[in-house]
Amino acid sequence: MRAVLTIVTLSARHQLAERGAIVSRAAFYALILFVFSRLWGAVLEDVHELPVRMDQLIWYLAITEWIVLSVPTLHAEIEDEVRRGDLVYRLARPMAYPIARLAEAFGALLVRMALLAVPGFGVAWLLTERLPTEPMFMLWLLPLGLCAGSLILLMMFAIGFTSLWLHDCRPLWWIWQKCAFVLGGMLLPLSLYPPWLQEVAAWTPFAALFHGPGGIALGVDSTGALWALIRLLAWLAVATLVLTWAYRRSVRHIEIGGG
Amino acid sequence: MVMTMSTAIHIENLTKTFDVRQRAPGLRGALRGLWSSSRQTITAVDRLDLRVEAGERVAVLGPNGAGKSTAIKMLAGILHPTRGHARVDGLVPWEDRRRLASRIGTVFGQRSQLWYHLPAADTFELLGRIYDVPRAEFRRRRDLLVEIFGIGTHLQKPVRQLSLGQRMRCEIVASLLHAPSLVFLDEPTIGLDVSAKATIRDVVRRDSLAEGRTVLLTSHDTGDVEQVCDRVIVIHRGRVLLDEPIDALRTRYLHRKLITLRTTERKLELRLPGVRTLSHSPHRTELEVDLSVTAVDAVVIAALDQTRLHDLTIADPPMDEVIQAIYERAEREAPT
Repeated sequence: MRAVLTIVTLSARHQLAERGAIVSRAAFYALILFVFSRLWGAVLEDVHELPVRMDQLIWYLAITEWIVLSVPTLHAEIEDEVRRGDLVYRLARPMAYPIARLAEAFGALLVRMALLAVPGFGVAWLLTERLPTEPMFMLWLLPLGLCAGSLILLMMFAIGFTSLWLHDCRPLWWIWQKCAFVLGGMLLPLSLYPPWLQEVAAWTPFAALFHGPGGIALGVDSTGALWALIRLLAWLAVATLVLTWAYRRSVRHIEIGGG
Repeated sequence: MVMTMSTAIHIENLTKTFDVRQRAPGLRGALRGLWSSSRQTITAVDRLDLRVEAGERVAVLGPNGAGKSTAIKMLAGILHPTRGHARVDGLVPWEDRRRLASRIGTVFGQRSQLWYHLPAADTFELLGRIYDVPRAEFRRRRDLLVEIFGIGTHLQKPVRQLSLGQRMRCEIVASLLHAPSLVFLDEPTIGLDVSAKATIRDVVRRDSLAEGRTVLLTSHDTGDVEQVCDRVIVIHRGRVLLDEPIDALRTRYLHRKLITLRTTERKLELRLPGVRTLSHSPHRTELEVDLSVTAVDAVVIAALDQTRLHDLTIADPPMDEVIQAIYERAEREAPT
């Protein structure tokens, strides 16, 4: 466990040294919020019967983008390791590869979440001139954001590992992004979707990933926030089980066929 | 499999085959390959037998694709063999990979385990935790290795600020922190300048002698082989082609010596069978002597007939030529 904590700490410090990457992400984040606030402003001028307010939409977007932009590109890093042949050598360590890799990515996630919250939520506050809810209630974003980020990391790990067979995991990543965009409600809250699509989305982990934490901006109460957290934890458990099974099979593939 | 207490590696009949997908050439082949492809079995390692005693420094050489990396991956437990047996430090690598990982160290010249933006000391700390080295023992080993490898002044600098040579010394220290009894070195001096190469070779050899550590080195730089190892194993097409002490290798495979003479006469003209002049400059002549035709003393006597000698150097041919000769001979003798 100490080794895992050391990896998380080192990775966090390593991430802090990559100032350029953090600054560019923060700038992109602020730009997205500004562009979408203008877009939503134009839409809401014509559509008056939406059940959400403009400021809620901006905060919703700030939260969902905060989660997705905080996650390091683990799938690409793993694909790179597979291509360069580094993966097989990392297996010859006493620590299990997924634990080491995920701990490393989690360290980066922690730093990015902390650093991106400042410009992201700052811009959202400037655009809306208010917080989406009580300041104390916003603390729900901590467990929700961390669980959502961790679940994305597990999914990214699985996608990155498919490069062992597919050699290029970008098509899968592209599909993941589209699913996250549509079924997660990254562009607009799922509550604005047609009922049938809301039901479909609710059965996928994407709704839990983005719409769950985003609910904080839409006025959910503490029961709603707790349910969002429980849903995320359940998906984390499922993803961990699936990943463990898939990883064992993958390692067998490497042991027989090479990396 | 008989393995004594002092045997570090024992391999018997180790074989690894891969099923490789074959695609027909050209656009038609590429299109057909989308739904169907034939498979071909490639033998990467073919009935390999090998024994390395503890504390030995052994170079494993071979041209690209000879099967060196596959063999080392099996010895590290990463790859399972198709057939055969192996024991590394008493363990079957593919059955006890985790336990074995604590007993072996790996250095790959083209791969880094150091965190790029952080000081090497941080990576050392992490590796101490990963390998579960008791704290006092970790600090003692780290300080000792830092001293041996002369990296004390670089320890707190971010790795990105280190030169390649400093970085490689840190890499080697990182791989030795858990006191492995066996270390795999893969191209440890690749890309380094002459001075850095000499340092790395020297410290690796000294560390091995001091700690009784077994070294298995793969390198295309014959300087590494000559200055670190005492024994050479040449692998070709997955099989051991040659397994000999380095000194014996030269005399057996190249019956030649290089003789450099500094003379009082401006020019030396030697007409002896098996003697070839390689280069000529005023008062200096470099000769290549085929020892199976003419002995060294005959060359010296013939030279003394013509001139006085200021200096005389007798050297073995470069290791590169020895290895090249072995590969070429293997290619000629290999069944087609």
